[in-house]
Amino acid sequence: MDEDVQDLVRQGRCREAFEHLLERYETKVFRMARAFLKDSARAEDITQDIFIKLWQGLPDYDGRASLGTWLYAIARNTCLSFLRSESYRKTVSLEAAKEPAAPAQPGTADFELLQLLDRLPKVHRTVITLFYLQEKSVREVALMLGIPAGTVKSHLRRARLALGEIMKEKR
Amino acid sequence: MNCEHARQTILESFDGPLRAELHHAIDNHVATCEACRRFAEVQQMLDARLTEALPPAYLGADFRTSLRRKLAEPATPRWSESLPVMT
Repeated sequence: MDEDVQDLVRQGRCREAFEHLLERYETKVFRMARAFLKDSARAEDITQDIFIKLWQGLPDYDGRASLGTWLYAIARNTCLSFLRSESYRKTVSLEAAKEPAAPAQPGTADFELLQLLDRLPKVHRTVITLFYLQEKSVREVALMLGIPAGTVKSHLRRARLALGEIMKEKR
Repeated sequence: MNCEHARQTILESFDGPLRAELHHAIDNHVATCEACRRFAEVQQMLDARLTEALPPAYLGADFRTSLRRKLAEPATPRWSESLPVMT
């Protein structure tokens, strides 16, 4: 899929290759970051960091994985590192806090559904969130998470069953 | 088509288009099975709510300008390059 861009990298035309990758992947990577971070502003900042890492790493790209797979791996690692540092900061600040933190404010009309999503195991929540943010493409979610499409479908099925059960209980 | 197969197929139908014969088999099954018809209704409602709650997101208009500004900044020196020169 990105063979044309791989050729540019092999020829040392990294700036052109970068522009093509930015055009093709910026929205997908942003949606991926948003699914991981659940926050658009932070996801946009992280997307910038991911493309800066791509720019810095492009001259060393060895072609073992496709460019898309490689970029998604950078994106995944960057998001996970950010989440790890965030949870560390939260732990520290909670220990130091004298008053309880204010509850999160609902940001969407269907806050109830987003709360239900939070009750799912993390992997199911990430897969189903990515699936809807990525315009319902199983293939794209599989590439992003580096797992087979069949595994994405299996997580989707389990997430739907669990959410359906919770919704039935609430009716 | 039994209930288990019907429910698996109903769930699969939200991941992508189903083959016509499977669609037909599901329609026939839910026409006669009340429990699977309710299952399909709940799942359709869930799919609609997820579609609305998680719409495709887009980057802000100044994303590329801001990215290009950051790329143009001189790279932060590595720690070894930040050390004072020993004379």
